[in-house]
Amino acid sequence: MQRREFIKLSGATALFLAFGVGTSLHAATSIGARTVVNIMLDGGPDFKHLIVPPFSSDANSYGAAYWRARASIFRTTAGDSAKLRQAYRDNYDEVTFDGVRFGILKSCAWLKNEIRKGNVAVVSNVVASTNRDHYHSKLILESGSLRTGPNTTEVSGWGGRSVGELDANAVAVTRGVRLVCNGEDLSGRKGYDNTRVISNFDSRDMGLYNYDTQADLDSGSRSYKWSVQALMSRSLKSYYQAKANEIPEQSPYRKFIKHEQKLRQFGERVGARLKARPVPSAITALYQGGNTLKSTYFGQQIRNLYDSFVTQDILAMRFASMEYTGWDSHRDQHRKIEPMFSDIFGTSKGLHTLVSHLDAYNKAITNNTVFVISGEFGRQLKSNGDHGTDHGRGNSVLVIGKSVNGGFYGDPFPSDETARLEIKNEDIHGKTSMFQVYARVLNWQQSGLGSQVFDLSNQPVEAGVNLSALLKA
Amino acid sequence: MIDFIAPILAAVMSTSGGSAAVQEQQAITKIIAYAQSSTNPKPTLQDYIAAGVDGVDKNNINAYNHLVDSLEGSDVDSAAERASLKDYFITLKPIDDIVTTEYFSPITVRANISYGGSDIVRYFLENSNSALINATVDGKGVITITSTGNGSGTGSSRLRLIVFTGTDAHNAEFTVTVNTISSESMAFDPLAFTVVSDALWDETAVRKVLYAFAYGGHATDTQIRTWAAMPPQQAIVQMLTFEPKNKLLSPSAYILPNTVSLERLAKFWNTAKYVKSEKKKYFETKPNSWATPSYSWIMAVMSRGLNPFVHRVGLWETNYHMSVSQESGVYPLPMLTYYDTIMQQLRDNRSYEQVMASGAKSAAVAFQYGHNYNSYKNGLFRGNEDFAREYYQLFFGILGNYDHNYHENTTIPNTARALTDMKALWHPIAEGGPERKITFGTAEHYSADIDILKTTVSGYRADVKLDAIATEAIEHAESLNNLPVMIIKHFADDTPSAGTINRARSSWAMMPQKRLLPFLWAYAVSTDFHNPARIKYANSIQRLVTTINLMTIDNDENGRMLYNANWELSKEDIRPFRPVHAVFGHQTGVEASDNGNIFRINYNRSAKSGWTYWQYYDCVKNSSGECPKDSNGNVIGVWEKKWRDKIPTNGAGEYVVEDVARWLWERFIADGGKHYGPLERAHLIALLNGKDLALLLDEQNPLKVYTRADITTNNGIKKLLNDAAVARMDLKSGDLKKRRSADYRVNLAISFIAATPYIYAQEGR
Repeated sequence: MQRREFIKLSGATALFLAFGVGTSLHAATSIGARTVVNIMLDGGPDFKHLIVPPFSSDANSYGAAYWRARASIFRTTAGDSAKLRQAYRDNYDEVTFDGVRFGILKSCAWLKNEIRKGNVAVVSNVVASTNRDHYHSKLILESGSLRTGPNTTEVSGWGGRSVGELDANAVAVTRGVRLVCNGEDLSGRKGYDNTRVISNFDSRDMGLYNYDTQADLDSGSRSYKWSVQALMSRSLKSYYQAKANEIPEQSPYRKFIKHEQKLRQFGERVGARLKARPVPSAITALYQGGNTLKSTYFGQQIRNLYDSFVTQDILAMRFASMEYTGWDSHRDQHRKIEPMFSDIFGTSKGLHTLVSHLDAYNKAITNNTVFVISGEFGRQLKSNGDHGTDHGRGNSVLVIGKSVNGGFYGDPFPSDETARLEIKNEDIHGKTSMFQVYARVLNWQQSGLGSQVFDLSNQPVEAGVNLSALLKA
Repeated sequence: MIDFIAPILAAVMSTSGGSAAVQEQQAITKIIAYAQSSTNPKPTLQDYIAAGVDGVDKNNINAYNHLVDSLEGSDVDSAAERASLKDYFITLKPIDDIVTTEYFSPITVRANISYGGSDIVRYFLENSNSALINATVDGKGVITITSTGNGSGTGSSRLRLIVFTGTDAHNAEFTVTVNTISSESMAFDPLAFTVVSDALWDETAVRKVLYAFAYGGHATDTQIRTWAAMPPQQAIVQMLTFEPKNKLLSPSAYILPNTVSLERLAKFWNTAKYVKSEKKKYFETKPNSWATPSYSWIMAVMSRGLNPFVHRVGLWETNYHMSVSQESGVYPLPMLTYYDTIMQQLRDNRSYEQVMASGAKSAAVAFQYGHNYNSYKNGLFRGNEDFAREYYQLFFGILGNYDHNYHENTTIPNTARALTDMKALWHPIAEGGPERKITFGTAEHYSADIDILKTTVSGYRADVKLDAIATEAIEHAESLNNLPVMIIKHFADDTPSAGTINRARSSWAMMPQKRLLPFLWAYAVSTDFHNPARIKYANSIQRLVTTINLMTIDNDENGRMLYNANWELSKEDIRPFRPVHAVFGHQTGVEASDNGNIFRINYNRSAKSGWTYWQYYDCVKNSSGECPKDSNGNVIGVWEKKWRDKIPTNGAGEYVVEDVARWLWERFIADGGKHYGPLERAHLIALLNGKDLALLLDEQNPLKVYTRADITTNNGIKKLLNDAAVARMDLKSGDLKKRRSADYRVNLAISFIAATPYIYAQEGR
């Protein structure tokens, strides 16, 4: 019997014990345990803008068709080959890797180098949702199920399910907790359960305030009798501790007891660990302005994730959730999304800074962390009349890390697209299920985990693509 | 005047149909003929369209005919002259744009209508309901419109005044809508819901409605009891109205503007005496007054004398349902206009599709989605499909499941073409900022009929098409299924049962004209709303604004902005008019409840930094930044908390701790005592005595945790608590120090309540 089935049978009792007063049954997670970082790019990121075919003067080639179809994005016309060629040269570096010649945005030099090092898998022609509805597509992508309905928010996510199987925790370094983190409700009473989710949006101030009454007693100070903070913090701590045994698991109020317990359990230990390790200045610069990043919000997540890895053993983190919003590039795509790609993939930008400092802290972390970067859908092949692209379906997903067997999985420039490139409303044909990609990443964490988390029946893989080789053993 | 009118007119009368060129000529001739004599047939809307006269629509067709009637045939016999017809109209700004009478009381509207110094020589008045309205024109300067106050009818009356001045035939159109519908006069209809029984309709039930729909409201305890004693059908139409003011829900002696307009309210607060001078900046209405929408909205919710329900709905419409964001380039003034336009539509009791269409036609939405430059020229569409998709999905709840391929390949691309030539130009701040209203044109509009939702709609301009689409969409099967569920999920039920969903859908479907207010009425007093299984988690705005609203005693506190909800919300990374999911809306209650970080911030607000909750006086600080003190060492206050004005006394006029604790719990949690157990009672009694529970029970053991069992079984503890419970609070004491201490203790108790699990969610019963 698998552990999951055992817990299902045990039901609420096991869960209650799992978060009884100050007690955790989670297995120890060491720093450097295999960890998946999911970076959700909300809005439908156009990876076909990040990695492009080289401009070609052969009018019948993919490279020519692509640049004609996308001319308006670069504020030129389809018939002006010279300008199209120049747009390509101005904005992209040309790379050949894994037998594929392509252009990559100049502003994403870190990614380019990681590709050359073989640390990046570009899985093309992937698809999850086959509709073009942001909201529904995100629900499907993050839940990891095509059965998720358009308004079904009360469901578990694939990241949350994975840490349930791993007996670990998911850490959300975002403002809110994304659906992907939702754990499975093994009692079957609710759509999901977030016992194993830790919100860590402010990693340097994670805990609950606790007036140090004992210190007053030890020193003979009488402040604990009149300080308003002393009265209030003692009241609330005492109250929550007593209520933990009163509010039943199925109560809608139980989740607040769990929040209090988690914050109490982790807050002080995390705080103590981080006190001895200041945020590296290069990371601080990412979220404290100074034009290092366009999105200081992403910068703060980098800080939070750095701190989460530094305290990975305390948090029992095996899955982390990040986000970068604003990829719905209906207009002015060139100006809009290139700085965003740069935030993530540029030299000395988000991931580069994070990985560098984690590497310096403990190489086991970078050796055993995989970043999965995807969005709810791709965009149409041909640009619209507003210098942007409208919603499509198929897309690419990037898998990055030292454990990755870098290369192209699936044809990034398939010949069957050539004719469709210039037809409005056409999009990338999804040939590989996104869930197949995620499942392979989870299998790297633990053998067989992918099929425990996803129902992979009828989930296709593009002919000729060997996803089993996506990650090193 | 060319004498070709008669023969062509005869032809017009005898011919129908024909080519476009023939139709155009017939229409022109008809217009000229009508200008010549009003005994000739009136031109129709189609005639004006066919003749290429820009600006005519179903709403102003009569005004155009009156104008043409006042002219001569020679004034309209050239294309240039006909094109300039619209220039005759100017919109005059009345002192009160829209006026609503309440209970049919007479009202007067004044508007300065002097135009170029010319005398008014003639005016024409259209009145859709002359039984209700009298109007006079006083000289050249003032129009006085008075409702008859006879109470003999209901319905809004639209006045259209066309004023002719001087000899240049300049004309002015001046429209005032006088809405004589009081919400009370509208009939309650349970629709497909079942009205909760009188037995279950009690004070707690009333409070739950006020929580869900009005941030707790401002009603007195007496009023709440009065509503609880009334049949729910009667009470609800008093509780929830779309009027700017609701004296029962929000009584006040303050005189506030009678408007739902945030911009007008902001202007009022920017100059109001009771608003602290250093706070007035939050109510400026400059193009870059980014804080104004949010601050004004919260002030509108919290202001005694307005109507918190109206602005609760305003947040739903502009931050959730038809969400746009200042983060996405929607500037403050277009945002205010957006809010005000929608709210006015609701106030006018417009159908819900009209409300949504008014949103779709706004500059704010155009800036948000970027269709303000969409065009159709020379057979080429330039633009994007963003709003073409979201108009259906987000506004109406139509996802395209009726026929996915058709929706993607026909409805959306065609709607994108409908959204052409609706310009809102961006201007720098120094030049006034982005435009606040759309200018709808025809030159770059895709004027052909379009297929959408498997039907065909027409419209010569984008606004006409958007109206037509709304008319179709509101009755679409997907919208009928989804829109009512979206509404009830937002307001009151995170996980409605299948039965609730069915009744909501049936209720919506059975309304011949979909209107939000009667739908909410029926739902708010239904067995579905007052159902123990109903759970609604509070988002940050709902939780904080409700708590702070109920902390507030009067507008003096509001004017001092002692409880700055904006500031507290920002700590949770939540800002009104900057929805966290942009067009997909602001933070939901479920999201907030799942977020440990939000919990942490709220918990620490009470435990560590509860200045918002704890303050009980205000002072004028000296140059050292300190509050000056009197000879007794008391801070010299310019304001002090007056819980004595709110908290009820016992028969002897005393404030008993036990009673105060129970009253506070019901005021802030409103669960009828369901979760007011021994632990809650014990902690509140302790804090109202100025101590925490451990200190109260054993000063030598301040870190001891007391369980329910300790409190309910240990006789010594029970006695200590009971003794503390009967203590009297000095809320009315003449001794300043004692009085302040009592108010402070009440605040501590509130601070505690605001951090319990029960502040985060509401159950139906």
